[in-house]
Amino acid sequence: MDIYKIARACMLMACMSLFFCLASCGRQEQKQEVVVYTSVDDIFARPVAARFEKLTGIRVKLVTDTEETKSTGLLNRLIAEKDRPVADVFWSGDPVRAAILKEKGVSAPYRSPAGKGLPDKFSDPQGYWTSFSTRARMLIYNSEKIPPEKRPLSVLDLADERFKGMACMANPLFGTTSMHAAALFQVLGRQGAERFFQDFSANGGRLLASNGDVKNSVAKGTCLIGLTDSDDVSVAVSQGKALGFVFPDQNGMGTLLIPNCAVLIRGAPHHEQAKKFIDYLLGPETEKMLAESSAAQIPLRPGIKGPALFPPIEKIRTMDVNYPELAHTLEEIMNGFLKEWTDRNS
Amino acid sequence: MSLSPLILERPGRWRLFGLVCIVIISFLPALPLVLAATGQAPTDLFSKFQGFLPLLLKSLVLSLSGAAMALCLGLFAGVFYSLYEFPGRKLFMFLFLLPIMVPPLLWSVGINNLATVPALGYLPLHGPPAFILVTVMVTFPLVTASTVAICSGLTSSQCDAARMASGEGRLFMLATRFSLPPAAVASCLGGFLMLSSPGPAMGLGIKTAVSEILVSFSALYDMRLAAAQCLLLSVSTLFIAILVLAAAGTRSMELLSPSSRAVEPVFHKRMSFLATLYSGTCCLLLVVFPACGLLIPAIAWPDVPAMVGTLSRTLPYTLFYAAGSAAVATVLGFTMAFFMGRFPAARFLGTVSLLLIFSMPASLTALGFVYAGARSPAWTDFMFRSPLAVCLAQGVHLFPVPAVLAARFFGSMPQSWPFAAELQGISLGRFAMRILAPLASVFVLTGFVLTLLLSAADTGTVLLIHPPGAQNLPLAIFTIMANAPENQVAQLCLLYLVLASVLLLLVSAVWNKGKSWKPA
Repeated sequence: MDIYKIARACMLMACMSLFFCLASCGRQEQKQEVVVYTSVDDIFARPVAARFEKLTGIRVKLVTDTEETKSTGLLNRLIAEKDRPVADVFWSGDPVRAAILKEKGVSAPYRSPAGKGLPDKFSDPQGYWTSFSTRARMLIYNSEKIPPEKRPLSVLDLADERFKGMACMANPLFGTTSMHAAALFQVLGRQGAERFFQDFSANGGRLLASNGDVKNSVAKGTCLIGLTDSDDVSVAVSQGKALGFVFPDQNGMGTLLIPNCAVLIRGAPHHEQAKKFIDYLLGPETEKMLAESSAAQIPLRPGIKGPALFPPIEKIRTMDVNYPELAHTLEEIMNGFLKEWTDRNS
Repeated sequence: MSLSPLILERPGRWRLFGLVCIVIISFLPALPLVLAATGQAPTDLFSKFQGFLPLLLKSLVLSLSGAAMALCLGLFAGVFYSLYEFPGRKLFMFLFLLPIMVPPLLWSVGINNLATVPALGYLPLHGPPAFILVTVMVTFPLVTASTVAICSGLTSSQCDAARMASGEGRLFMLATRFSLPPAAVASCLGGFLMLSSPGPAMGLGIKTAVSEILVSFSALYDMRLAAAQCLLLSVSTLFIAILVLAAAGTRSMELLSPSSRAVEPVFHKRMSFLATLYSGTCCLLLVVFPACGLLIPAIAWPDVPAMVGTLSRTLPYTLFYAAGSAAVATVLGFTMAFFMGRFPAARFLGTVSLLLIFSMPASLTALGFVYAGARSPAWTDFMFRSPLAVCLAQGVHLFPVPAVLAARFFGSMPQSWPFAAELQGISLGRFAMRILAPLASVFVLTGFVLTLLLSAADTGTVLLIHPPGAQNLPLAIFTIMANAPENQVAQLCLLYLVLASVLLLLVSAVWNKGKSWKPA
């Protein structure tokens, strides 16, 4: 190879980079596109977005988060961008963040006609967020080391002496675990919840980086039981991992459900496209798609066939929580007990 | 020294002015954030740092342990490579360099996969030991490469003299001792790279200082705290770097100026056998073994459509970010080297500045961009919220790499270009076109491709400032690695490894071409 040719190739590459850069930095507001921030796992959200692109021709620019900072990372980014938003829609993996966005004035009300048939109790009464397909918080156990009759049945079993040093959960400052912590504070009361967390650490419970790590640790046998989400369970079971699962507290406080939420961002640069995307998310087809995917999400709308792995929503005893109130509790404990407890134990 | 008629080849304060300007440019993005962070009340900061300080200490201990192990291993590998000819010598060097050319988080994925193999259950492939292993892998190539570079400062006659006087063993020890100071500096830099990379620690499930910085930003959205933590990390790494640099002395400067009569590797039966054995073992432990963790699941359950989908979505941005950052870094690096020139004082000052810039966490610059973007008017979006922002942030952080190469280029040039042109009886313009430009292009292209690979491997900056829908491949791997099936993650990692290998082959081809090039 001639050295002059190499130098010319180098120059050409630099020119092409410059051209692409200038082309990509131009104004993009008028394009047929919608910017969607989502705290739903990338592997589950992307096929849903791709189907929308195929149906409407509107390009979806999806921003997902890393597992460790899921939910909270994008939430804070949305709050920071409030005055000059980049996002059009926030597809939240749980209703608590959606409620926080409403309080901070980041979201705008939108009652989608496609939301017909979805139960009202999971959505904002003023239309700032609408819930659809749900996940559940589940207890998992290593099925090779724990026989079914000795499996844990309640979240409180994470602090049980039977599982001393072998129970785990994800960092409660993030994602669905933070929401679960807030739910426990609401249902068990401040004292009861603080006692549970303290008993968990006194029992040698381990804090891991994410729900995915909880799943992997229990499957490997590093831990025997753990607390994670139903989509993680579904993926692990489909991979043939040695995991058993339980909908916790079916004879007590019930299982916490975590529905998805669609949120319209106030001042969204692509307002109309954003509404179309929300209409699409709330439609029965999306619920069906999410139920059939490896996420195995449970449809909220009655009459839609759910995933084979889990029972329909009517047969699950659900935890009775007030989602907007959970947002307040979460904010309070994130800057107080939970942060201190996590710092002490991680 | 006779003065060149060309004013640009003379010493002067303008060189210092130029150096200061470039250092200011590289610190500029982080400056408003740093000022905001330092404006906090000390008591408030102290209370927030209570959880961070133990993590910082833990991170320093882990990274420096890995760096020290890499120093021990890489120093010998580099000396073997420099002094002896042995079977597979160039292949081994190629494999040695591979780990630094891909994001460290890829290796953490590979090691995680190996940890699930029941037959390997007895190996410490979890938590801190696994993190140390990844640090060794990332630092080993830097130590080896810098040892080779410093050994090129030895002349053949020096080596022959030592060989005849005391034998091969003594020569080996002398060359090792000669290379130790700059290799120690390189191992420190490798350790710092790991200190500022959130991927491996998160992939291996351990909490480190940089993952806490990410938490401060992402979960608590306390940018001032994140910046203050970054500053503390920078100060700690800088303190260590200055200690190592002081211990290394002026020898480390020799990385910048190659000898024109470099030592030639020779075949020696016993030493060449030892070199093959040693290099082979290092390759197996630090490259082949972790790569198997990517290879096994990727081949066992291939998922081609998923791989093609992710690749087609991320490849344009991967290339754009990498090429853009490399272009910015190359321009800055060569300008810096120009101001350093051949003058010891300017070179010393320049080297210290480069070390300072390289030891600053990449996330500090990126956070600076986020901070500025949130407070600037819409017309500045092309700079703070577009793909260009990623290029600028990475380019500013990585320009020490092409700067070192450029300094080597200026070091290998005649002291005065007009005198050299006059000696050859040609005009300065012709000298520049026919001799300087082709030689410089080798250094430019090598610097460009090396920075391209390093910037493509960085996830921290892209994670913080990439615009919507503009993910690159490492970031796509980073976001799916906790949830996607192992085979999907492993095959993406493997694909990246193959792409990096091709680019590395290109670099070595250009480098060899440049070395064998003779002016027409």
